[in-house]
Amino acid sequence: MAANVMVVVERQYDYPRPEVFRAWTAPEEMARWRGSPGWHVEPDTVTSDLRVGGRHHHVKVRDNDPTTRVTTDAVFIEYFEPDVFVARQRITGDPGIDPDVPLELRVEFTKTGRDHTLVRVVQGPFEPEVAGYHSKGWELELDRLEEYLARRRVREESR
Amino acid sequence: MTTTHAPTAHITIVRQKPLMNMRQILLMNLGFFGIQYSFGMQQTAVNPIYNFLGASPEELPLLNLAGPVTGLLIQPLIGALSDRTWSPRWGRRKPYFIIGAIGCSVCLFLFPFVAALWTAVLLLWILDASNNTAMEPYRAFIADRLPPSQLAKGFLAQSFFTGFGITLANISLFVFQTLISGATSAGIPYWVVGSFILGSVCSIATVLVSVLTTPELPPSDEELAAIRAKKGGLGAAVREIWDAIVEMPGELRKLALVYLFQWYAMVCYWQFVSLSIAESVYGVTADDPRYANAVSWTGLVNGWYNIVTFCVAFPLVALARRRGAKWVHIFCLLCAAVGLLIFANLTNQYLLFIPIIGLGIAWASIMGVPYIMAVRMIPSTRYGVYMGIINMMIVVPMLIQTVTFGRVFENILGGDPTNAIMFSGVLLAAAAVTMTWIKEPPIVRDVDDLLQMPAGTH
Repeated sequence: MAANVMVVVERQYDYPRPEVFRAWTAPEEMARWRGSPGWHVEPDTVTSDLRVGGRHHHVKVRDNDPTTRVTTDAVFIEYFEPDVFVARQRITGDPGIDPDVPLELRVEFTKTGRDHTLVRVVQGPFEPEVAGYHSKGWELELDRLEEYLARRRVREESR
Repeated sequence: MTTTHAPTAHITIVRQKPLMNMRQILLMNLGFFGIQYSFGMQQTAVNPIYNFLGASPEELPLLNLAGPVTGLLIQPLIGALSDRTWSPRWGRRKPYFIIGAIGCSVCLFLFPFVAALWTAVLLLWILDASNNTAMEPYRAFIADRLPPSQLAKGFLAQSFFTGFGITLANISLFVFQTLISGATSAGIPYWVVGSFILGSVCSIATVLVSVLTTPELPPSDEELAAIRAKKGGLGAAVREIWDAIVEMPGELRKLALVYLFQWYAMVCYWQFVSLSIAESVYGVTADDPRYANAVSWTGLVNGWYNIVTFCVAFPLVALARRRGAKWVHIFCLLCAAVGLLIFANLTNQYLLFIPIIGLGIAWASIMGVPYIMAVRMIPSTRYGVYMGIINMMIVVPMLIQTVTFGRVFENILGGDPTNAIMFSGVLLAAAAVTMTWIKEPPIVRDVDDLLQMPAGTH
């Protein structure tokens, strides 16, 4: 089956674009929320050279089985803070993804309303039978991002 | 002091969009051909029918009021309503463009058989309402169906069919005139009847092909629940339009200014091109019997620029992908600006076909390229309502032009039609300059291009 499905996921956040963009890109921040429930990003594995041509690396590990690891290596092919970044990814360790077939991850940050942000994630191409699984994964991850942003806001306001 | 932050709960919208090949994209857009054929008939053949039925020239602007008014009112409403529609059987956008296409088809069929002016006016209002009902959700349909990397192809396929539909509508009038003789009891020639009936068949048949070959993407359970939770009705739709205007992204507001210049300019061109050709080429005014030659030549010139439009639509896709939609649109607008400045000063009727190529290029861009940018600025759950608002950005400049241009023409342009065409060129240049103010979301590459690039390595 050919990989021909793009997954498009959107969510609005009541936070300004620079805050949301930072949560996605700063290594110390993205490690705190990326990964579906049951998974986490190993903070020590995250490296990110935040510029066009810069490389990114992180490893996701299953919470209850640290031997199950999914590694993402990527190159930023577009990087415009706080508008958009596009990474060309090679993902290994995920049984649903062929590591020899590169993926594109595009994350757009659009200002809406007074100072809110529409995040649009576009990733693919996936084979049709695994696209649903990855869609669900993103849906859950974006819930975690909402929780992370709320926690961070409370922390900052309590200072 | 600390404050409690209670953000609104937003749902996550998840879509899986299969990449479409060129054949699928063309089939999806084929219905746009029928809709634009209908518009072409409206632009070219409705006013002559008014004339056949005894309308005087000064009544024509009022008799054509249906276009801007229905565009202003119907498109945003249909957009807002379609955003909150989902039927497992009929889809989200399809019910609206099927209803619109049926309306177009019936009106086009009946139009040449009218015997009184008031019935022709009534039919034009229904035809315009139907055209708008069909066209607005069609743009949202493209945005719903295609992933960002293929939107350029989708919208420029619509430009292609715009040029193609309008050209064929005009060609059908030209061809049928040579083949069919006689007239109805109301004095409407049978060759006009033939063109309308062909339009009637095209509008419904092409939309049905698109509907039957291109399924809509169903919403996720969460999105469906959100749609169901929205209150329905006209009042809610109006409220939604207002909210969308208030929350409109800043870059989209800037696009409204670009639209003000470019659509004001286009209306000036359409209104004055035949008078300009009459003056510059034939050395006559509208009172002279030879003005008919200028009108006929204008038909050929306009047909030619629409041919250019459908020829350049797809090359613009590649250019937009490489250079970005913003710079492509600026380039196209400047082509038209230079073209019109030259066009107005030519005295040889054959040379007119060269500078008007610039307008054909810009027309292809106007009908497709801004949408590539716009859909990347707005949430996909509101494509419908924002496409309607973008149409308001088209219609409002048309209304402003209707109200203001008479004075501009007399007091600033010296009542000279060639100056009106040069004025259009200047406005298109102003639109290009305003376009530089917009910060375009960075270029979306085609997935095929991405496969040629290096990925991250260990």
